[in-house]
Amino acid sequence: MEHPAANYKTVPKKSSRSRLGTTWNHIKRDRQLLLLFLPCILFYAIFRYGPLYGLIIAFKDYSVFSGVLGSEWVGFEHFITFFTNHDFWMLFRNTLLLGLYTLIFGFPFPILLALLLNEVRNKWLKKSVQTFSYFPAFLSVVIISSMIIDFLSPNHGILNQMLAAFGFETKYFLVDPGWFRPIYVISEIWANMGYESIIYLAAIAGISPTLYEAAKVDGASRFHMIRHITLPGLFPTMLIMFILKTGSMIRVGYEKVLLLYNPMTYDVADVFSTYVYRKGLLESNYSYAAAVGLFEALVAMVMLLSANAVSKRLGGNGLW
Amino acid sequence: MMLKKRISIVLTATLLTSILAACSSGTDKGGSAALPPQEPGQYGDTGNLALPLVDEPTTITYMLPSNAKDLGPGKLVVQELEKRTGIKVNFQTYSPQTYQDKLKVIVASGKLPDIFTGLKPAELKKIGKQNGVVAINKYADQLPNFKKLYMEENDWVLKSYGDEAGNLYTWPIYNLNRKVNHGFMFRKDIFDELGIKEWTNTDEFYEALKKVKAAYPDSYPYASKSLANIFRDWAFGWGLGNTDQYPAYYDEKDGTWKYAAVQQAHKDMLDFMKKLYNEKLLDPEFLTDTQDSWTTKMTTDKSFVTFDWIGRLDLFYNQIKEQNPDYDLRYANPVGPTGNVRTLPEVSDFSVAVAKNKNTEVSLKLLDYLTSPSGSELMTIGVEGVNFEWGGDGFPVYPELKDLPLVDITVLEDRYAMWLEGAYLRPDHRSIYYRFSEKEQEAQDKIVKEDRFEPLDPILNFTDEETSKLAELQTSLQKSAEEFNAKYILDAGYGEAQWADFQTELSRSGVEELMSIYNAAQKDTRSPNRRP
Repeated sequence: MEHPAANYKTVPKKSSRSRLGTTWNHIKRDRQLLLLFLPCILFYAIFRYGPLYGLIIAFKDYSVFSGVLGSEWVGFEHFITFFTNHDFWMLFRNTLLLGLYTLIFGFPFPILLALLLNEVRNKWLKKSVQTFSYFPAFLSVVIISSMIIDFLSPNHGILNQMLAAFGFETKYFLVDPGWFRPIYVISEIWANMGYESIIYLAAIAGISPTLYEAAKVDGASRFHMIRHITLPGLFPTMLIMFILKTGSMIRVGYEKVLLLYNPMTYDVADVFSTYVYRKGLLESNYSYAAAVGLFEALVAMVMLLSANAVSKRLGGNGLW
Repeated sequence: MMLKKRISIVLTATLLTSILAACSSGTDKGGSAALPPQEPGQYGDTGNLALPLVDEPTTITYMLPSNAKDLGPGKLVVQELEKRTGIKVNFQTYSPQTYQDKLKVIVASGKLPDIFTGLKPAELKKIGKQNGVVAINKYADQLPNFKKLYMEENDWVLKSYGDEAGNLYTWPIYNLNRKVNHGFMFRKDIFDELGIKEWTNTDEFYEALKKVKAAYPDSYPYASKSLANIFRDWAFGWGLGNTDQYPAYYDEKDGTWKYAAVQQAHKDMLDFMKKLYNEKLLDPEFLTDTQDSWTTKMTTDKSFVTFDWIGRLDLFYNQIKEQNPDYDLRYANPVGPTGNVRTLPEVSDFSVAVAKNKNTEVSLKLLDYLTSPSGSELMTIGVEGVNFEWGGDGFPVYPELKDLPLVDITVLEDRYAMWLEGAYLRPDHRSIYYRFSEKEQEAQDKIVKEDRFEPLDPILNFTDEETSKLAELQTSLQKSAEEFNAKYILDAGYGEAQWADFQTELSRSGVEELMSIYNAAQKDTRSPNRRP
């Protein structure tokens, strides 16, 4: 009887030298591709990973003229000050709610727009609707905000004039704390819907037309096709977009809040980023602002990781 | 090993070159080595400062806010300064709207211009302690004008504006203010048409608004563009302070600092505003109005009374005179029980600071020249025989600008680089800025004749520790105060109970602690409060 092992060839033990050699060979082989990738690596190294070094100042009493390394270490002092600040929970609540509402209500609209645009057969109409809906994405936040202020003015705003025309009472929306979040979220949707729908339109374009043809032959209506072909085809894109948006949810931009809030709505409008702006830039507490920013980034990371894990657990795909 | 050595040699060489390059930049050694000394008195009274200020041509950077398109070497002031002092001044300007942001970013980068303006006093002191900017008083021996004005004639300046060690990091501005600047204004043409007399007290003010409302039912007689600052603007009439420290103010009656937002007088003011709001006499958009919509209201019979800077009297008229030649906005009597307006200080602080670098002494001497009568004349009147002649009324006339409908300080800034905010350090009162229009003169007379000025509050000098405690408390207290003020006026449900709650809330948020810091600083000998 032959020894069972005799059938097996002995596997030569790979030396680290040869592994290095393989990597080198790969680099040599793909050098043109890698060269194309180089600007991307540099971008991330310089603009994304480089500044991470500056985060040290969150643990220091940073002085511009002593420099990052020369400033004194203070440990977690800034974090403790922040967490014990009596505004902390208000900021946390406002940031979370604004982010959450924008995510929940803002997420379906670009999809809906893409689905509807996809059904439009008239090319001219489709193009004009698309262009029109992109438009606000190219306007600066300052312009968007003054448009909102104008629309909602109790004296001469279009909305109030319409309310008055239909016999309703006019309302001063901007000083009503109850209206701040809806105004913020709706304007956010209005400004970004068109632009964000591009990615879904691209995904729809990637769905094989044969599926639609087959469904048509089987007598499927347009609605059936959306439900059974387009939506399932869009699902992976939707999932990825959702995870990405969850990660940036807590990062509510400060410009629009600063432009839209007033003493009546401070209570619901003040968010982490406006606080960082005030503390960091207006009061020159760079270290403190860095600590708040770092906390914000950590929360965002935790949310991104959890969204990814949940998505994987539910049987879908994650980002990684 | 060899490689390491080579790299280190290369790095050292690079470093050396860059250090050398950095040293040579700024000092522009173009051609001639030494500048010829000038005759004393050639350029008027320099206050014993010898011109030129430097031995060899030097360039310094001066950062300030300006809307002028170009303040380059072609401008009269830039040329004159170089001719007189030997210093080539490179004005780095940013639009006033974005200036603060730019300044913060530049400070955060640590690369400061030689001279700059606009930081908050507390921040300037902080940077001063970190050796970013210099303590001006330490160079006093080289600065005759500074020494005379701020260490001899007004010795309180050093103590009030300096830090606790007596170091002054800001170069003050002397004698800038006109007597009266901000105040209530009303449409005299409409008042006359309706037979309403200008108010002389708060009740008459209310009655006047009611009469205007009756005649123009769709209008809101009082409009505001001050946003949340409306509370500070009105506060002078209710005796609640006279510094930039609002809502903190000094009560002259018992010699203590108090917080305006919790005082009975403040509540009286809010009650009055609430009454105006409820009766639709106060524009409901007073907390969100933009400059544009406010302008529209004030020029189209939607609103007739407001609070603003005195220059608006003529500005609005010039904007609207084509359509409505009868438009007549006038400065009105103050509103509120004291009947007073703000007193403007003789010495102002725009936080003009000098960076600590190799140009420090030159920069300081330049500022000293700008503070001398000679520099004062150059920066705010011009150069006699070159760009102006004296007119019959004692004010300068600019022949090159005779075709312009209005020659004001923005024109002078744009054309000659005169009147640059942060570079005029001792305005000359023979300048056209002090030639009042008929409406402005009326405003000055109205207030000055009856001496209706709130007393000036002392300027306190806080220690580092106090400053950081203040920074922690001030912003959130002021925010809650503004929030309460707004709700108290707009929300019908707000009354006595909410006022009581608010007082407890502010007290919990540290208002007493804040005021104890003020009062400690007041008592302390380091603040002599000798302000006139």
